[in-house]
Amino acid sequence: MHIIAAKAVAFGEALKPEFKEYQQQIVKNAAVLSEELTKQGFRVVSGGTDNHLMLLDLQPFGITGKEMEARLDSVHITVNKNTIPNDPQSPFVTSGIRVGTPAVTSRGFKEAEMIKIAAWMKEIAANYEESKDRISAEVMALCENFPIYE
Amino acid sequence: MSFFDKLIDFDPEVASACNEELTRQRHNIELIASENIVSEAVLMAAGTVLTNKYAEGYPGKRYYGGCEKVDIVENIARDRACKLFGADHANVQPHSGASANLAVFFGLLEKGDTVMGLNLAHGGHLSHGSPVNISGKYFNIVPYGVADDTEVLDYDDMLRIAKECKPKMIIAGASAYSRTIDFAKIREICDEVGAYYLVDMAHIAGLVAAGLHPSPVPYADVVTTTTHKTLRGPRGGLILCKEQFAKQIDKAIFPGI
Repeated sequence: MHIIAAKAVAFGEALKPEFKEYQQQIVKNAAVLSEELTKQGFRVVSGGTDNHLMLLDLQPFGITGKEMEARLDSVHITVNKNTIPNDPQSPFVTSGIRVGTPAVTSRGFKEAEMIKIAAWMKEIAANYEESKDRISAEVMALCENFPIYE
Repeated sequence: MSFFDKLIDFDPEVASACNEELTRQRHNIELIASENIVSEAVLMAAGTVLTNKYAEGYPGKRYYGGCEKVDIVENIARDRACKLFGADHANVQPHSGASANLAVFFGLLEKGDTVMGLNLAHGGHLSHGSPVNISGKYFNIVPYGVADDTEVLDYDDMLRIAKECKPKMIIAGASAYSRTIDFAKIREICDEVGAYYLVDMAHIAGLVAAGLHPSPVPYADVVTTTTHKTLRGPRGGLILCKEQFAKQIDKAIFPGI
């Protein structure tokens, strides 16, 4: 019953006008992120996004979803590996990752932060060893500027 | 915010792991598409004394005494869910999206019935008929997918498959699909082959609530969703349905599963 109480509260929040603005920002963030990732050399499955998420094909960088997930994890960016349509890799390895904007939008990230994230992801995919320590520090610094539960 | 000030005295082992998780969330950029950061109000509600209460059944028709207050809460949740999505009926009891889907299978189908769902490898979900999921083990699943060239849902092929396999139910909805889903078109396919129409809108429920993705509610017989993800609530499930299915769905959740 405690979770039903929490659902009631969440539905109440979703009925407020601010919720619509929040959802609009989620969609805007996803659109910018998808565009920027494309510019950085990733292939976005289906060519883009209409919603809050996108599926990235990592084959242009010659790495697997499993590897990319682990690399991003090491620099404090959390994603999940995901199969892409007609994926040559197994579901445990995959050729893709799934990326979505609901959580980062909740903490206040906007278009400018999406551009940074796309650039970091490119470096992690293409130039991991040289860039990981710097990016890890930059990610932590950005998160400090967008505090949660304080 | 210090969630664990009291817990740390009672159980330092669990409290410190919870605290480390809070630190992780603060220091990480969370891009998992199905995760979110809920409001403090949602966290507070989830941590209330309502956890002490058994409330089998539905408001006004419980199998336990002392449910007057939790009935108020469940009625608020149901009314708000209906208002938010313009639905006839809401069941707010499923513990997850997967159990909401299971309830629909149990409520509308017989074991062995044919069901069409989006191929997991094309962005579908385990609970829509994966061979390793209960949905795939107890039902005859025929997958549909995206077109090879556009990687967008292939509605013509969906119709072709539906005519061929005559499903009892078609499930729309995905866990890794970035394009708008044409819920009206899938309704036409369901009508053409006489199938029930289930939409699992878990990923996009927040967008639907805000009018940023076409709503499945006018078209589908039953709509399931999680209450987390874009909807930004606690980890849980929700079922919305047309009035004519309300009894079947409620019975499937309790006492069904």
